[in-house]
Amino acid sequence: MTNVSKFGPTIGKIALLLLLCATTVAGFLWLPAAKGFPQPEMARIVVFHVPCAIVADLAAAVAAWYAIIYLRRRNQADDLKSSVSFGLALLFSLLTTVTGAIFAKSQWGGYWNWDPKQTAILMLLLIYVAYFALRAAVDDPRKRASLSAAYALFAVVAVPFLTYILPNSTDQTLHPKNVINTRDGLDASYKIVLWAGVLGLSLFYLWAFRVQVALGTLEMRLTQRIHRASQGVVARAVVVEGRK
Amino acid sequence: MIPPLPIRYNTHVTSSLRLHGVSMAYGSRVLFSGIDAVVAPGQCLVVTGANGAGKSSLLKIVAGLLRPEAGKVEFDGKWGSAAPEIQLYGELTGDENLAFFARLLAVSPMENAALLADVGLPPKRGRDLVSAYSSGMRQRLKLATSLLGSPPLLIWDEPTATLDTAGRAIVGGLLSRHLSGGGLAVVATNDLSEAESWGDLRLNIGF
Amino acid sequence: MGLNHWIICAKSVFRKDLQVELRTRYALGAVLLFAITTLIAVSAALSSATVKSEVKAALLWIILLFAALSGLARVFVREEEAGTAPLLRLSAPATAVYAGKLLFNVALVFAVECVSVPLFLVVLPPATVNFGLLLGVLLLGGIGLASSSTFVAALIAQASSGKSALFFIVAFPILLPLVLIAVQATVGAFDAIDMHHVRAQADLGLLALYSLVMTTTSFLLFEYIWHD
Repeated sequence: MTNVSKFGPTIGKIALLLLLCATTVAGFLWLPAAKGFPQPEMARIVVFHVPCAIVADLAAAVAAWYAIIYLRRRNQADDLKSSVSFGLALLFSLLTTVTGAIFAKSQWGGYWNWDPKQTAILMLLLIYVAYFALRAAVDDPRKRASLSAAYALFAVVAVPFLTYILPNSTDQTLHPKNVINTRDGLDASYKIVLWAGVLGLSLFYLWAFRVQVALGTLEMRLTQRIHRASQGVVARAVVVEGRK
Repeated sequence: MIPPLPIRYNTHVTSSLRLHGVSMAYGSRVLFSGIDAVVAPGQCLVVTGANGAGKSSLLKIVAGLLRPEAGKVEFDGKWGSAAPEIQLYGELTGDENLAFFARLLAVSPMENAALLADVGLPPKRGRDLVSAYSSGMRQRLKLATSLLGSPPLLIWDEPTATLDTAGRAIVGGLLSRHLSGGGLAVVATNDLSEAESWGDLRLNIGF
Repeated sequence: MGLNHWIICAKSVFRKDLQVELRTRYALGAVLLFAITTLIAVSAALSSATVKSEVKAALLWIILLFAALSGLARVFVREEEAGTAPLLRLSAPATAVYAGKLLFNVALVFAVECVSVPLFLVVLPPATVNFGLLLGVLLLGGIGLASSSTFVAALIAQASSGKSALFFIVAFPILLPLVLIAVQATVGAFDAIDMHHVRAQADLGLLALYSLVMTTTSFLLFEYIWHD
């Protein structure tokens, strides 16, 4: 091991921490209040809320991708990656929901308004919970992997019916359209902080993903080794030529 | 002993059954690893081993009901399977069960009555619901189902476990007729004397 | 052994399930009893209240949804629990099995609709009923309900424990968009507001699209879960 590979990750983690701190501080102190919103000061939460939503979608996309790979190659490592990414998607979706609810309270007057986007994220949360409930109910690891991968892909297909089609068909969304693109109430500086937040959270996601996958891989290897050790010898089969 | 049965099954066997390095593990518990075997037409592979050694798992792998952890099974042709965990529909009669699977396998249902006779079930019992069958009768019906369409490969897991003496003789007769007609078989059993009398090839799973 | 044999297999599986169901009446009994008891409970609770058509549409679909969820899992759970699934796996193409099961569940949903919807219209009569629209919603919504439920049934049938609770948890989020769209369309069938009619017609297309997409996806994915 060279010094670079030893300290590289540490430097990276410190840089990531600084980036996340910087976006947080910038969100509270550097950004001007957004005049277009009923509560201009509270609109700062946009720079936390939107990146969480984007990274949650990213995590779900990665999870769905590994679900496809699992079904094609049937390799337990892909199942691990898929489930880890779904766990992170659940985490970021929860953060999106909470920040969104705080935002909704200040702008629309209530934490929960059955806005189409709120309905959609509720459905996503239910899907993630159902995904993990399904996993918990299947004992055989291979079966667990293929069933949950198939469910994930099935759910992915159902989601657009809520997230895209329903909001457009009702046209009653309280969400401002094109939040990210600068509009009247949002200063251009919002765009910078928001995308910096997306970058920071994406890197955080990547780090958490890799740590959990490494941990899961170790766990798999360890249980295998314990079982093999307790069995003593690996069971063998012998073909014996019998009578003619 | 039962009289030799007429050879109705003119099976055209063209290939052998080959197991290449078949391994199985449940979760992280290794059952067996690296099983290689070749079963040629007319041969029967008798699988023996202690309870829990993995006989049933191996037969499931051969039948394509279970994906091996490693290795592969090669066989070019159809196969019929009977095992304790493979059940028939209790809500249907014996005849209806046979007719249902005959349709799925694109086999003419004309021979169903003959199949029942082969396994020693009187035609009258074919009209009873399978849920009213005794375990021995169920086993006979399962064997009959596995013979549908006279597949070149038979995979029987403990075919005689619930059978009486007459039933055991029938199984022996069916098997030797199948093998002398050029068929292949993979059979698991706990009964060593049966294993002796059936086996061209013995596979003992264990240590 | 081409398409013809596939169709024969799908039909045989459907017929076999119908035969078994008519002998045991397990799923039909569960689903119908659920629909009727909830209907009685709802109408008794609302006997003195004036109920808007939006609420009536929602109630109708809640009854249909939960009635369906109480019985649609049987097609696959029965095969796995009775140990008959392995022989079915060995004997018929996976997609043909799925087609037979889907057909059976569609028939089951239609049977429930035939009994519970007329009862619903008698017990909680809406201001007006646009029968053409209502029929369309029930037809397309019913197919959608059956298509998603059948796939989820195939998934949860292979779980080790708590299958019925799991079926609710796992199927619910998938069915949520369908039910929301179906409710919105049923509102259009239950009142005389022009805008609702127009919206309901668009929703019918959406319901058809949902059924199409979910059925196609389940046929693509089924083989991966049916065979180990």
